[in-house]
Amino acid sequence: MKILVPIKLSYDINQMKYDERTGEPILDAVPMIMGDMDRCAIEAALRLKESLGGTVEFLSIGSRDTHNKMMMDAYAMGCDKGYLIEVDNYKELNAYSVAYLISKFAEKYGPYDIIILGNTSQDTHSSIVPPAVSSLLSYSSAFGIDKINVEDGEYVFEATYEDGIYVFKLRPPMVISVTTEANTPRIPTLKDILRAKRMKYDILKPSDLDVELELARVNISSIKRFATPRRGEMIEVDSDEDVEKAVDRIVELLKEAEII
Amino acid sequence: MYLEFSEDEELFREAVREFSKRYIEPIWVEVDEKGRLPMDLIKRMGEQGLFAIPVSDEFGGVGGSLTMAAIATEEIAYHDPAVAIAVYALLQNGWPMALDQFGSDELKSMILPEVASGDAFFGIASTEAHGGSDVAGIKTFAEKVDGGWRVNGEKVYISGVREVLELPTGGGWFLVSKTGSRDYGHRNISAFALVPRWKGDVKDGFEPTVFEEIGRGGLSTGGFKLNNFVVDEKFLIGEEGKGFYYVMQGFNIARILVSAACIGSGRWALDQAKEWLTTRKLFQGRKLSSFQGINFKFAELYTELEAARLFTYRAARLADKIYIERKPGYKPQDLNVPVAMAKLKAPETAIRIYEEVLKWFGAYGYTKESNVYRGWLGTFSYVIGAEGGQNIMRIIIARDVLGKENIRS
Repeated sequence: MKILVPIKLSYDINQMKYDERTGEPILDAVPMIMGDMDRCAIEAALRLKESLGGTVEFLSIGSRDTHNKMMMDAYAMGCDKGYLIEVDNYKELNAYSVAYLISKFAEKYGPYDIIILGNTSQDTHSSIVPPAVSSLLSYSSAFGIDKINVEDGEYVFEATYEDGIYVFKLRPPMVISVTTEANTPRIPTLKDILRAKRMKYDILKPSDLDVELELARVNISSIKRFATPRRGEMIEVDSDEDVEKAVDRIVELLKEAEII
Repeated sequence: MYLEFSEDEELFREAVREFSKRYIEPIWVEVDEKGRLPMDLIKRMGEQGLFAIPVSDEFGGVGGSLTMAAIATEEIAYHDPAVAIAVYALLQNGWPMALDQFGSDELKSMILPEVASGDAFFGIASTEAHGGSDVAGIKTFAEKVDGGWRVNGEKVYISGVREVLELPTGGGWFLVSKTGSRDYGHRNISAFALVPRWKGDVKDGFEPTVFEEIGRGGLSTGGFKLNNFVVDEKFLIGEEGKGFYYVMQGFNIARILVSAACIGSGRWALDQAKEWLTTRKLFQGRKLSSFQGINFKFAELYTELEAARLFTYRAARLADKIYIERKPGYKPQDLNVPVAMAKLKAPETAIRIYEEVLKWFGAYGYTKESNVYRGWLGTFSYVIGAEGGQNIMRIIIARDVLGKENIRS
């Protein structure tokens, strides 16, 4: 069993800072971390390895300077082998370019039985990369997984969508994406971290994968905080009659706000 | 010195923070209220590698540094501002490290792996009823007998008495006792690993008692009498007659971690205050933080806390050079002033922070609901004297800076 977990260095959205005047995020002041769903993807991979055997490899796209700590983090969790595709201005890569690089990597360094990704990245939240990877590799796929079971060599995944719980039964090779419901990621111990510090990861260039990235770049023109002004009104209810009046008042307020 | 943490130290801090959020933050009030550390939490902390961090891995430790232990202590204290859990962790890093430095391989092989796993406790037993600061005046006496020592005496205000009785393996303390002569002075003091319970019943001659304290409720404090308690000769730590030097170095190590606990708890209190001051409005919509009487004080305390933090990690880095990296040219006594400054600064800063935060919170701060008082009472133990009284820190600094001969009255 060979598992690949692509991970992304994301802005820590819990520590976002904004320019009060323009509403634009001050991204240079925001720490970057491995996203929660990526962490769950590694945990899912490690649990599969622990029950079925095999190896867990991880892959990221970025620069040594910014990504080293995250790579150490993945090793500390228990991954066996890491790869970094070095790309200048990696923050400008769009989701399709990322998926393309991952698929090219998997073709060259695979075959992988399972590729597990976080369902969506912590910062851009596009959810495009997992389906794009499965499409490019023509692997079977299931996304937004929050439960994983293996029964008689068949992988059974559960995902909760708007209209109910979906169950997918797949056989490798496959691409899945997991949510934070899938598991509680392990916390590396200091021994794990000290061991990880000594581990090296392989560094590749897009050209090593025969990828020309110039065409794939995209410039983000602006990012702004979207804040909805809030208004509060207290409606006191003491009797059934008051409830009727309260409902009328709520409807009136919603109409005023052009919500209904 | 510019304070910068390495990537592995930062990663470790994040890991301890996540652990503390998951397993400590939800229960810290209950631990303080009930006055008991859950045994399953101690075991979990052992499994997570939060004990014996600066102990060599050869003897079951993590093989980390005192800086790492300080990071762990600070983060645990942030999530347990009443500091009982943090103090348990700091004791289980500081005194195992002292044993690792001065004990025999046989002793270390027996005790340290059990402490690292969370199955045993190993703390410090120095204080006696006449006063903890006067170590040279201890009265506990170990008489040499065939194959070991017979110890008589009494120790008080000792952490971990109940834990030694309840943990799966048991444990004990880094005990200092007079040997050879009962005369006042430091040259006739020896150090022992006093282990009254180890994988079985309590040994004869050990009579424990548990005290009730006003703060830091989860960790037990008590005392014990030793009545002809027999210690096998293998439990002597280092050389006979050198116990004073060993215990003073142990105190230097532990004081760094005490300081880390105080800055973690103080940081929690300032974060509570920041939230309160920037959201609470009065006098027609003015934020509390807009009043200079408040924000100037906040700025001062923030600065004081950062200064305490710099003192603490500077001392930790120096201790690592002396004890972990064993760099040539660095001596244990180099640590005296940096540690004393950290221990002088950190607990007093934490107390000042709590006293202001309680006032900023107004009547709410005086209720048990706010929980701020728990941190106040917990950290107060360290301005009273646990791990060394504040005036002892002043004496150390004055003695080493002005010269011993110039401070005698």
